[in-house]
Amino acid sequence: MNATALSPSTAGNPKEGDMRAAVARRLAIAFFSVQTIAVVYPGLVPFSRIEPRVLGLPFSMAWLTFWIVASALVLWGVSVVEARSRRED
Amino acid sequence: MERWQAVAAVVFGYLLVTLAVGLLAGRRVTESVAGYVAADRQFGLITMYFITGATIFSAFAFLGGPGWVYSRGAAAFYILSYGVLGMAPLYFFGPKAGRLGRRFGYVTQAQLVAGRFPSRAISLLFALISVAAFVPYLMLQMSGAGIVFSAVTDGHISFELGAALSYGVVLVYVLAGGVAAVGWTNVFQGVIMMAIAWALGIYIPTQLYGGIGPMFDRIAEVRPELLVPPGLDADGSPWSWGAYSSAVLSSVLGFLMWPHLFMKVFTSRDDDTLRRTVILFPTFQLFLLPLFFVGFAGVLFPSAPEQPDWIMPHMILSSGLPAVVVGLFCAGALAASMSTGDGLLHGAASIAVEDGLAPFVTLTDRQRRILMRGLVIALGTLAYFLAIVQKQSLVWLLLTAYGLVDQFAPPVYAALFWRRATTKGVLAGLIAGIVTNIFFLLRPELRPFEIHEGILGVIVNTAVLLVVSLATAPQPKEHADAFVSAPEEPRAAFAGVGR
Repeated sequence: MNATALSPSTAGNPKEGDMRAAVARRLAIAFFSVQTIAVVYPGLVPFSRIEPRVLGLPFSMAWLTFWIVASALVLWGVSVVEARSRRED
Repeated sequence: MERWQAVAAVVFGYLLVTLAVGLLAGRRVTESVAGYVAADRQFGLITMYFITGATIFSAFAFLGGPGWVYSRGAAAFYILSYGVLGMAPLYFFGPKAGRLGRRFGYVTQAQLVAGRFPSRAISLLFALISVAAFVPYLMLQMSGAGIVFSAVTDGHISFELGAALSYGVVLVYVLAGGVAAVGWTNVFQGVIMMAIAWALGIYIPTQLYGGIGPMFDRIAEVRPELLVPPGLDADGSPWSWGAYSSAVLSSVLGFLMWPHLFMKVFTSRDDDTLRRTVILFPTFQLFLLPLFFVGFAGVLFPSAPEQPDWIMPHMILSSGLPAVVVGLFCAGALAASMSTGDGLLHGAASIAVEDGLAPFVTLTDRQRRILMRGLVIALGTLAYFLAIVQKQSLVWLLLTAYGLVDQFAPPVYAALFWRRATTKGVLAGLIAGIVTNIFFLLRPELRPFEIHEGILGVIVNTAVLLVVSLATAPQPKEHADAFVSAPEEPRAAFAGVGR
């Protein structure tokens, strides 16, 4: 990540992809940090409830399931950005 | 043919196919330690996906998960949360660890840590803790197999015989094929587990309540306390948020530190395979949902099983399913047990030899493979006899194991990310963490807010690691850089890796 921080890039520069990849990784790490708080005390407390029901599931169960699905999407997103940055050079 | 015989026939069919898959796969790798332990680093995406999924989801998920839901309600939801969070760090450090493995020839987690922090004491501690943590985990898997066999055949095949049969098969293919056999059988077992779990998880609530939504309607009316975390304690009183939250956190931290799981980074073919495995893992995690549905279906069911862990077979036997389906369930549960048990057995033997013995005595490649096979038999037999003799205190043993495994996290992360960490710091931290962990395990009443002892150990472990490292001389820059900087040159590392 240090290597990319040293290269304030211009359009068309292959380093721009590197920077996007570094940003994507940081955003993903932020997402997982938020998730860690959202599934334990105290982040889970407001969502530890039965209503409203989602697809028949109690809200608490739907909330925890949502984070599983969102995690897959976030990781997939990072990998797409990273793969693109690798292809650029 | 009686019903139990039909069930047993399906199960034997499954065991035979598993054995065949394992034996065939084992013939495809080279006769070497890298072949036996890391499958010549040739696993592709499909294999890695199912190995990871099937290794993680064990008899604990298949029987214990529904059992927890049935007896403790939303307390079991902690299992939903830790898997993905525990796995995600692998996306960020897995490719780096895999590259270091390819560059320096590592096949175990301890080799990586001791490569950065050269110390035979660290290597030995890793080996001792790993084996100590694996034996109870293996006992749990064997008990799971025994429970399933004796439940679905009405005791015609005993607990002891069921466990012996299924682990006899495991022993044969692990001995013959090493990790390649473990991998390919896990592909087969993973598919069976997933298919069976989803089919039953939808079928049983629909059959009994007319659907999953209506089932939760009924539970919300009668037992609403079961639907909201932190759920209930084992005795039926409300569970504490401290215990629920630290169960999640301790599992997140320890998750990847299980040596049999960590070692899989050395089996993958390249960085992309490893990344995609992590991305796809949440889809495997979702398979806990149908298992939980079966547990919830049991809550309002008129009859109760002997023990909560038996709820899954109990529901299946009570819902009038045809014998073939019961047999398939049994195969699914055995698949869950065996696909974890084989990795544990193989991992324990590999680690004991590579980290416990190899640093102290000179062994040839061939001698090491022979020793590993001998240990597979010895550890398998030991766990089997312990599982038969002592069936009660497994949960306690498993929790102990998780706390110990948590203590690997600070050394591993320091090896990969902190240039200033020193060998003395890591060793002192590891010892302090283990001592703290064991202290609170023996004196649980002293734990603040019922926080899991593994987490308390990690706090002390990390603090000591930081302080002692800063107080001792730093490592040579090039040495630390070789480990910490590895991820910043992904293109260079790709160069040597053939597809």
